[in-house]
Amino acid sequence: MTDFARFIKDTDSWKVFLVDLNPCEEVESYTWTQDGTFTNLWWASYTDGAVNRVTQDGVEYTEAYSLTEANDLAESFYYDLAAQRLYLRTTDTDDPSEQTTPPAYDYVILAYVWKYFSNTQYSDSLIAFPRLTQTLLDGDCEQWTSATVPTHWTGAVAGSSTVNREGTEQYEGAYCVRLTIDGSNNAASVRQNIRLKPGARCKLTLRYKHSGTATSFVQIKNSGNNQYLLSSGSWSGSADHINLANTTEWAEYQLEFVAHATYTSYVITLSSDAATSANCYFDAAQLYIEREDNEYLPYITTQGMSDLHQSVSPFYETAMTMEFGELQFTNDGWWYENIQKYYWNMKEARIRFGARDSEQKDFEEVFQGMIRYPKATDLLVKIDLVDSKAYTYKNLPETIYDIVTYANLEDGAEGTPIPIIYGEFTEVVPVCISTTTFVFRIASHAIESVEAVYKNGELLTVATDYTVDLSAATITMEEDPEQAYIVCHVKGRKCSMLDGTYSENVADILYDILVTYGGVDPDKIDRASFLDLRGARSQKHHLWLGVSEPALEAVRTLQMSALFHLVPLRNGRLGAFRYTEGVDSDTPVLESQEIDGFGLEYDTSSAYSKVKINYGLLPSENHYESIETSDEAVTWRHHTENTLDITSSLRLAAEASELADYYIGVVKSPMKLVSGTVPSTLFLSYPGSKVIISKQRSLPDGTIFNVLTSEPYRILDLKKKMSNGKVEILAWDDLQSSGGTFCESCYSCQLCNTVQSGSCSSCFTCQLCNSGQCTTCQDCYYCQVCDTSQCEACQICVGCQSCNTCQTTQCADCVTCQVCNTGQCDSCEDCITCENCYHCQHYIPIG
Amino acid sequence: MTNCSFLYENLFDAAVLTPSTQNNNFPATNIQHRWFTKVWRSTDDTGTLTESVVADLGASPGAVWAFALKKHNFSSSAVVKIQANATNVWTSPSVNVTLTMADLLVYFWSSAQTYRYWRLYIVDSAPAADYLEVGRMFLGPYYSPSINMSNNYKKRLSDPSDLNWSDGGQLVTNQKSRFRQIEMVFQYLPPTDLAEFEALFEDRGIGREFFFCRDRDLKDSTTIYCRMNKDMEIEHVGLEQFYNITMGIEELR
Repeated sequence: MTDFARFIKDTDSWKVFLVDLNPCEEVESYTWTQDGTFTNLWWASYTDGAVNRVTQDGVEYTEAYSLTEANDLAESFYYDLAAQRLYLRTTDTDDPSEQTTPPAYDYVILAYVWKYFSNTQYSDSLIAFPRLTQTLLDGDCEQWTSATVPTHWTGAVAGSSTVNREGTEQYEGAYCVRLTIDGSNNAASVRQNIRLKPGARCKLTLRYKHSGTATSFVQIKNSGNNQYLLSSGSWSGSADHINLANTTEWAEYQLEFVAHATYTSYVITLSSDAATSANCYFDAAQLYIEREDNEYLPYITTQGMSDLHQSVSPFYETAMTMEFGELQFTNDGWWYENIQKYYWNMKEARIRFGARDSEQKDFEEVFQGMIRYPKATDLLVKIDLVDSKAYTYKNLPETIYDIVTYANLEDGAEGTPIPIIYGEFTEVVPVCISTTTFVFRIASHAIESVEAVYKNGELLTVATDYTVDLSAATITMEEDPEQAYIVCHVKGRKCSMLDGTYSENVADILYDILVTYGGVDPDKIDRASFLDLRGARSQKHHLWLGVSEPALEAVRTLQMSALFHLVPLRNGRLGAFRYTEGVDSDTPVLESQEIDGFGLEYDTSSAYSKVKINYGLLPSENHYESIETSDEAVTWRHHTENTLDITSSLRLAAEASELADYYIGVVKSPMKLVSGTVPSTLFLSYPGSKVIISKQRSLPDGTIFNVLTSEPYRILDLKKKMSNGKVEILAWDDLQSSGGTFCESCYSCQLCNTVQSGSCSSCFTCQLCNSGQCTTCQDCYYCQVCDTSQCEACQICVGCQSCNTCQTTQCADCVTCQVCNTGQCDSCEDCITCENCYHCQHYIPIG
Repeated sequence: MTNCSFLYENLFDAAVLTPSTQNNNFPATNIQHRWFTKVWRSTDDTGTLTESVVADLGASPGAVWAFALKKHNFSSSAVVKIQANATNVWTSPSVNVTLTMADLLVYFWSSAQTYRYWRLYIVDSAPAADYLEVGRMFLGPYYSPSINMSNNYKKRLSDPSDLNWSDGGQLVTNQKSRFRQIEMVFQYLPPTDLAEFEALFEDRGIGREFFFCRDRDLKDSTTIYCRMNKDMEIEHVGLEQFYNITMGIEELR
């Protein structure tokens, strides 16, 4: 249990919120001076804090750690806090304020500065923390080009030792790195070039373990091999490394040190040591550089911390929100100046939460997202925060056919999008991009294959009638096709998240949309969940993005088709969490007494009698195949006759049929929802995750009625109360959300409320023969299908006329009291247990 | 025992400050900010830390009768001096007072000290951190009424923490910083004091900060950094020359 985990459950705590906002300022109009020594650099006085990012016309500058480094590196910046100067080396090494055609500046240069806020400061201990910058790329060893080649680390092997992607022994995430050493103890290692700020405090942490009696080491040295880091944190001029002792369980290594005062370029190596015929594993490596200390301005008002609201909808609606609502700050005038000075909209925001006097590491990040524009009054400033799915604001495809690029473009094509194609399509109409050389373009990217080409319905012969350039996604006709109708059978993008090969897998397509087109940093993808989705959803998907639409629409289609939620995580990563049946040992459990304001509802608006799944798009005709499934009992039960119409990315009929079966299973009943306020146990939960809920209610006669007994629920909506750590939830019956896999008739016993396993026969009941009863309480009462007291299976109790309780009088319709759910007598018309009248349901004391 | 004192005309706030060193994320101008939690911080160093902040009050400096400093990170080993001189030379300053180490440092002179340059000088041989920090300083005159506050003043210790109870009575608390409040009455004040109190309220109102010392002989334990927390009530009690004044102050956090 971490300190934060203890804190969040503490009933007596001093709560501190830390809010980091990263607005930017346009600086090209500042007064810039060419440096006399480092002549590639221009500097301006900048007194508003340490600049952490610079962009020029949207291009990111590299942060240099010294003037020498900045001088040597194009498109770099260096901020000197002591001198309060910002140094830039522009693309052309020219004056950042250059105005070739005044009054316009040649560049738009944005300087980003973190602003730090809290809800308090204490008289005896200042809340001030250093800014941390991570210098390792993919320290989690999650990104691999192939099974033996990590993307951001360089492997080195000798003999038959190997570097491997390890997917079962990892400490966290989807993978770790495994060094498998041969019988001659030839070394294997991975290394990465890193940069450290001279003289800066640094902290290295990593996890490691071995098989057998193996040992390993980590080495940090400057790139010129002059200085080697020792386990004492000091530097040595002699070659050295830090030994990692043998352990077969994951162990953590930590080292705090000060970067060498002279060098900025270093190499970190994770290597085997004495490991003959054994394995060495590394994971979760981090190397933080501590930057300047920053004081947190106590501008956040007592009521200024909104609740953190996270929600998902059922898969067929796919809506996903994660928002913090509104942050409120006091305004002492600072904001009036600064909301005008900086650009705030869609800039990064982070919120952390912890106890007074906590160390920096013990503040838990609860939100990463984006700022919406602040609104200021004389007393208050309000800022809306939204989640970080910035890609949802982007339309795809982004590239269009234009006559500058394609001088001989076919008529009518100018300005139309160049399609993005995932998966296989049998009829794609290419666009003629050269009416003189008869070249037709299929997509905006390299494609896997052109399976066939048809001209006016006639199959053409490759190499005879046309040639193919897969990289350019074009076909070139041997002769002028004139006005002929050309269609192609193609396989689209090579989008495998593992190795860049062709894939029709939903996770690969999703990953590619987010990373390649959405601009999401691969490091911001929760690879473990993506790989889980990838493995579990083997259906064949295809997407034809040929009309400019928000990228979110494509993501929604994938979600509906493959049943997953795309959830922004606290660490800013995006996770793709698929539906999984059942619960595991980690699923939080909520007991009855832990839930305040419990509510139970059936949302009848969510019931549908028919489901239509559209699949197998033909782009040439913009036509989908479709498959329908229906359940007319929905109409009988709920007086609704709606059709759930879902356009999917599925390509095959059989898979569309399976999806239809799932959806009709889900929507044939009103959504069973529970709500309530629960303890901080769920504070770190995400929407889409599970919780096991029990709820009891005492009845007037003193008996206890089990409303829910250890039932799994899927959380749709979370409102996390920052003030007291409690969480308001809205959750959906997990067995219902599992669709076609649950028992149609009775998924839980109506008396004891325990979940029944097996088919419906186990709890579908007959009051007489007692054959289909709840295996837990050995009692049951009426048919869940027709809502009367009959047994559809054995027919014995259809009008069995026996009172389940007294066995002497007859029961015409139902053998249970609608109030207390125990047996009643039709003759006496009184419920034997709760004394309510069977017909009117009102309380009538016996006698 | 002395009469209480109000330290509110802060000459330090208009001074030009020159620190010996400065972490630019914690500039010396933070000392002029009303939040004592917004601090000046020296640059990092090791061993004995020797730092100073010089305040230039200008060519026509006002008279200084009192000094106060709220929030610092000096160790008990630190030697802290408040010094003054006509020039910015500190070899033999005209005023050179070594302060008694306390949470809130305060000093009163028995006569006006009128110097252009003032310096806070700290030598800390066992510093708590690699830097020295100062929150809020006062330098200026003080007002002490001719008749002290009544002995039956009310002091309230306040706790603004949030409390929540479950149905079963179990308590959940969100702790917040405690603070002191004092309600005081000055009785039968002459018109000269009335004018001083009116000037105090006119200048500070209920929103601006000042230091209040209940007894200068017990300055270390009776001085707080505060604001008025309600309107000042003036009651005319007769003969055009006697007034009762009721006011309240609240410790700033």
